[in-house]
Amino acid sequence: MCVGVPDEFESEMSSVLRAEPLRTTAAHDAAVLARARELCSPVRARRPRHAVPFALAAGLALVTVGVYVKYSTPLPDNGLLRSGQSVDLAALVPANGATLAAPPIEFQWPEQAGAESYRVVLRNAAGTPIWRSEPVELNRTDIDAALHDETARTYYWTVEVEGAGAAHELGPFWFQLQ
Amino acid sequence: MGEADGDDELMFRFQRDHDYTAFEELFGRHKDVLLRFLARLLGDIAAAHDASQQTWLKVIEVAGRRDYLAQPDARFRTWLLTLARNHAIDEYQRKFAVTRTIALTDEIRESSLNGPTAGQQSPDPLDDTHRLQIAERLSEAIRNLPLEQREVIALWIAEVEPAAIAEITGAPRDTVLSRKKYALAKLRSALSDLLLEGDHVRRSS
Repeated sequence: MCVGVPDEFESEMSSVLRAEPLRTTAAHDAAVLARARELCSPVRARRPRHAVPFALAAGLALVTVGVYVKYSTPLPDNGLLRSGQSVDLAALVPANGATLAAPPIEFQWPEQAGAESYRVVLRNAAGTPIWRSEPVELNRTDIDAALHDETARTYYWTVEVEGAGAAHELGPFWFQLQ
Repeated sequence: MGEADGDDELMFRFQRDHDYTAFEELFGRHKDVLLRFLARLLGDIAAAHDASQQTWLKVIEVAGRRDYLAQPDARFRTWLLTLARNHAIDEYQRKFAVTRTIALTDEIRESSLNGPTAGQQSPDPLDDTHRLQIAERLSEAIRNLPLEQREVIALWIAEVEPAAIAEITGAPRDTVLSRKKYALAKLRSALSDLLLEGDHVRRSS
């Protein structure tokens, strides 16, 4: 059987379909670029020839930090928030980029100087908000929604920080379900 | 669209020197094309974002292991789309869609596919409103294609050449061309009323 389609139909269809404006979300890009930055971080220099200079630099940094801590005023953010949106990732629950066997039951994030309340926003893989917590004063909140997305396993979450002069957003962070 | 020159070089800079800006450039060049391909293949935006992110994390993982190799005629974009296609099929397609056999129904056989029937005129280029209607209907029709035709159409929309589609899907080039032809025939059939309506609108205006 011979099946044919006129050339003009093929051309019109390609023109319609290729004009669609679908683009990746900011959360998607942030998650990918953060992982790439992690790979490119100087801390990850692993070649033996870098070991000695790295150890010397690390020692010097430790001495510098020690002197700073001893003689300077305390950091206003308790050392958790270094600059801009930089966050102590070790303080996140669930861990950023984690693959979880079961949905998380709570979120935790580093305490922010000057914060009066926090609100967590959870988004699906396409970046659509699927849950928003009530404002909480502590740097943790339980999640009271069932995570169930039949088509995607990735979730993003951000923390909206409210407070006089302290309003900002942490994240996006992400995790995925097995 | 040919593959941009320098993709392989950027990937090697990222892999060899852990050059973040090289990855950022590479990511910027291909992220939307990859997402659109996955959206067509999976028929779901959230699943496409998910698969896209997993694909890019895999790219980073491969670079971290220094496992990316240049191969003759296998450039970065072909490799990227292959990774994405395999991931999407492994992770999602088995769960969320049913692969059906390729079988043309009587309504879309040759007589209705080779062009307008007697008395009908081929539509002129599409106006904007009509274009939107057709885009929506097309998306639905593509979702209903069998997987092996859908992936060929998704790659064709991403402007991948037939030879590269053959490489990505593991099917012979002639099979790829045949799948594309059958898929377009089905799409045309699914849009037949809209195409005639558009023709009518234009003729009466």
